[in-house]
Amino acid sequence: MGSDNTDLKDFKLRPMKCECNYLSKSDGSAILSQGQTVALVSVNGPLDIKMTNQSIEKATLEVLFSSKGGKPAIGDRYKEHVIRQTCETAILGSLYPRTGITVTIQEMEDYGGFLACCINCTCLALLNAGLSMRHTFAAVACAIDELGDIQLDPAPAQLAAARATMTFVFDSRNKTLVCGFTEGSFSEDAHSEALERCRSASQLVFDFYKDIVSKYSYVIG
Amino acid sequence: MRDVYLSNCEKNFVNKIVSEGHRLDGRTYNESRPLNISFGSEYGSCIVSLGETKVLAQVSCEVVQPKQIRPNEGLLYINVEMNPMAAPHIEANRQTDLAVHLNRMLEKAYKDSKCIDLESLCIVVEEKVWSLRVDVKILNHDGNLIECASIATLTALAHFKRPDVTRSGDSVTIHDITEKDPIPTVLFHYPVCTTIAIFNTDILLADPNFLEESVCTSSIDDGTTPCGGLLIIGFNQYKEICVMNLSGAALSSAGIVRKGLQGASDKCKEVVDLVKKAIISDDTLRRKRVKINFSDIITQDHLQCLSKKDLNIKLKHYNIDDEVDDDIMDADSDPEPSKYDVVASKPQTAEIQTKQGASQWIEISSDSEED
Repeated sequence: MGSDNTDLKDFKLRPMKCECNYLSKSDGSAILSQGQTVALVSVNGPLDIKMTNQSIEKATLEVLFSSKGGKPAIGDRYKEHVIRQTCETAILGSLYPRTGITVTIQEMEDYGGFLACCINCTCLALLNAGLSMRHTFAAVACAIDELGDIQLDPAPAQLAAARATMTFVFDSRNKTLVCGFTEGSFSEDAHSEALERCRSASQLVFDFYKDIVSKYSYVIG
Repeated sequence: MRDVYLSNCEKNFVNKIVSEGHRLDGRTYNESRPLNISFGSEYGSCIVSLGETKVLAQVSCEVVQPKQIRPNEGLLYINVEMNPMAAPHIEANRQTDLAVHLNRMLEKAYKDSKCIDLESLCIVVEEKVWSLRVDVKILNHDGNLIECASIATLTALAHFKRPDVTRSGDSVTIHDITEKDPIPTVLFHYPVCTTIAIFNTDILLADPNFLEESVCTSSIDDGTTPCGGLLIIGFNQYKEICVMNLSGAALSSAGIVRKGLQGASDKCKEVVDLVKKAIISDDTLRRKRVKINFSDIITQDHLQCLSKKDLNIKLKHYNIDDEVDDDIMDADSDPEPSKYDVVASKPQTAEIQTKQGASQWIEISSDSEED
């Protein structure tokens, strides 16, 4: 796993485990666990969709989030929106005009850093489905506690004590920020420090992607 | 829901091999696919897989006001959800007929059969009762959804524990799981549903997969009405019928139902025993403070074929020691040159190896083009 990397041993993420092609009916699927947090993502596409939803320039991306139990909530729609925008920048939609791509995310276990786990799992499922992408993307979550210390990939206990939580998504090419979402109050310096630490830690996630993909395919670079 | 097209080719082939006594995946008529139950970290969450069909169930509870006509009974809701994850032809945010049908079947099996002691869910008469909600999510639809969903619902309900409650005067305190041991749900009996596919009016197939289900409910291409159908039967562990439902063609004789019931009752009993065993073993693990989580179902050690040049295939009826009949050898004594060799490796396993050397190109003579 990537967490063995000596240069990056300061950036500890919880152990990751992934299985691709978990579902037989989907074009691509992946189940990813980061520590105790687990998400399952299925990707279908490019497929035929209704005329009204078709776009002549690019593929229409649809993201669905399904929680484990209970009624659908507003928080689910927010996650869908965030993940859809992240995927839209990464997928080369112009290669599949007039078609639709459906990404379905199922919550399995939420023990902190769930949004980051969903985003990483989505990336693996997109890779597994064989869709053309500009770049891959990796999300890293962090929490800032009362003392101002930054904790990467927080566990539930650390989240409960946190003053602010942040999740950043980076692209694989230049490690530029694709999107970021924050909750709570923090200073500008804390934000930029957290950003840099997450940026460095994202390399671990990209290494992990390579490990997983090389199991079933040839990896370039 | 988009239309699923079934080619005549597939339909005729499946019909033909079924009437000859075979099935696509090599099972016998009464054989089920392997059943696997895994639990999540919370009480009342499980994933059940039946072959490739996968269902996630989660039970949650909340305190609500009881219904006026039943002031001392708790409530039970079952909610089945299907989204494009189950199969690409299912559209998002739209109730499909299949999901409604599944929901109704599960309600019949678990609500109408009164298998749950709803009175034990009462906290204060006419004021507060527990309401149990079972969320069933279809993850992968590969046929026989009802059996997989019913096992998942039963396992989740039997596994679920609700927080303990103490009453002191008018006030009711709900204790957190960490401070007081939660209470398991009381089940009077354990119903399980199973599907039987009827082919050609008299052949019964247990646990049909997606293709077999769609073939047996579709009409045969010579224009006649379908002569097959799906029979859903629910039994509890005392072999009492809880649900029965037939979709597709009308039955030609009562004997088919009797034949189906016999096989189903034994099968349901076996499934219930398996569910009970799974819950007990999970409980002993939890007592030993082993952390159980859905991440346990992720397997990393299986090989994915495309990364390897050589491909291992497990053959059920093949052994290295088996002598090849001379007649067969004579028949293809001069086989077509192939890029691959089939080599016996481990017991019951053959390996396809790519041949050494350059690949062969088919030469197309350019004479015809010159004419």
